[in-house]
Amino acid sequence: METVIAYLPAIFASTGITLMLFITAALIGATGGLAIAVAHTAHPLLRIPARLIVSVIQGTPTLLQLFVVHYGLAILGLRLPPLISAVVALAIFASGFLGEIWRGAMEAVPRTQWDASRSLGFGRLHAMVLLVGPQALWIALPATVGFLVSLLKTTSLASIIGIVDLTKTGTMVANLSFEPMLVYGIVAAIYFALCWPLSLLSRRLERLQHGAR
Amino acid sequence: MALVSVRNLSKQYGQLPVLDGMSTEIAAGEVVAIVGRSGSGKSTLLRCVGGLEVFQAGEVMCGDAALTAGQVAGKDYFRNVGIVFQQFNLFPHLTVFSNVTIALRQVQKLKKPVAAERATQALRTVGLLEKSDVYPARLSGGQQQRVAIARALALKPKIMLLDEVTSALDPELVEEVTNVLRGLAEQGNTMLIVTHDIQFAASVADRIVFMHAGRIHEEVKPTDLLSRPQTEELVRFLGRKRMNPKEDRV
Repeated sequence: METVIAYLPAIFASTGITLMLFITAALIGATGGLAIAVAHTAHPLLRIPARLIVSVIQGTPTLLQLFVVHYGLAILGLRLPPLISAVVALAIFASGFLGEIWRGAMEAVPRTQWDASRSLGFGRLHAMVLLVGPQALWIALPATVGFLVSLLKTTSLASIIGIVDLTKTGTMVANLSFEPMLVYGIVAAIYFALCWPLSLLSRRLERLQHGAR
Repeated sequence: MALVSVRNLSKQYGQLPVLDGMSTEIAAGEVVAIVGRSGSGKSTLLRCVGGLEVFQAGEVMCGDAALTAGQVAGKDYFRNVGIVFQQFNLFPHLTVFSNVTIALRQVQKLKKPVAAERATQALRTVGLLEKSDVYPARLSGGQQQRVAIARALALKPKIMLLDEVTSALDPELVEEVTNVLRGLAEQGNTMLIVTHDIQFAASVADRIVFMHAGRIHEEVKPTDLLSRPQTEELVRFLGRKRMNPKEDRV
């Protein structure tokens, strides 16, 4: 118990690494996701590579993607530090899923809204930014927040390639203290404290949407 | 002098011909209703005149703008037309007032007070000025359709194109939209109205065009519609409508 208490600051400090991984991957992934979603709706020729990328990302385990980025690229001569590999792999994972969520949201906005925008003289980009985009964003919000919860938990995979995040620190403290139940309980509680507000937000947004219909 | 002129217009979707070399003209201040069965090409004609469809042959002149075969309508063309859709197509994330002003501000680049004045005037015309701050979801179907009319009207188009504007409404709400359109007709607005509703067409239009198989089959005055139909197709169309009045509200 004393060992666990002694290492509590380290556990809390490693939460910062987890959050950093999550925020960076989410931001880069969101950029990639937006590009995929726009490619899907912009031109039929861009739709094919966009669909292929999403299929590959969604059809392969995230752990495997992490190994390909960290060990696979190293074999090809591009040796990335573990932190960069983790961010890149998680961002790829996020862009695939966010791209698909946002594509679906854009397609969920009735086509007639494009007609209405055009009939008022709006160009495609202008209509996307002012008229269709905000509607798609509203539709996509609950699913996006829901996915972010999943991304936050997925950051724990980074511990496998040596990132000392919350999970890795927990494993190390559990090994030192011989109190795995207590240590992993604390780690789980921290993950829960981070994810629960996002889950609540997702559910609240969903209720708001149903109310607005 | 015609305000709108459609010449030899042909449009097909894939292998399916929808408009088959049709021609017509609409004078300034005239209200023309197009009636016909589903699939007769009337909505496609309206979308072609409205610049929303690219057609394969012919020409559409609207005011000082023209569209030719294969041409995609640009911003300048849309200055001439105001389109009102069957399903209203209001922007749900914007208030009634913003729905009416957004194109004035963002497309026509009018200054805020000018756009606000235009929107106020248009909303007053359709009797919904007091709903300015309300979101579309809080309005009845009839009110939403009146906002859509105000949105098109505020742009001061040369012609208003109305596509089945009463079809999605309950019968008791049709009257409020019809009254607004009658008012617009009396003010001298030029309108092209596509409808299934014979009564509605007869009550608003100066001229009724009956379309069949992508062509104009007959043109009549509203007063002659029921008493003097000239072609067998129109007689059959009117007969079916009388036998099945519900179809008027499809």
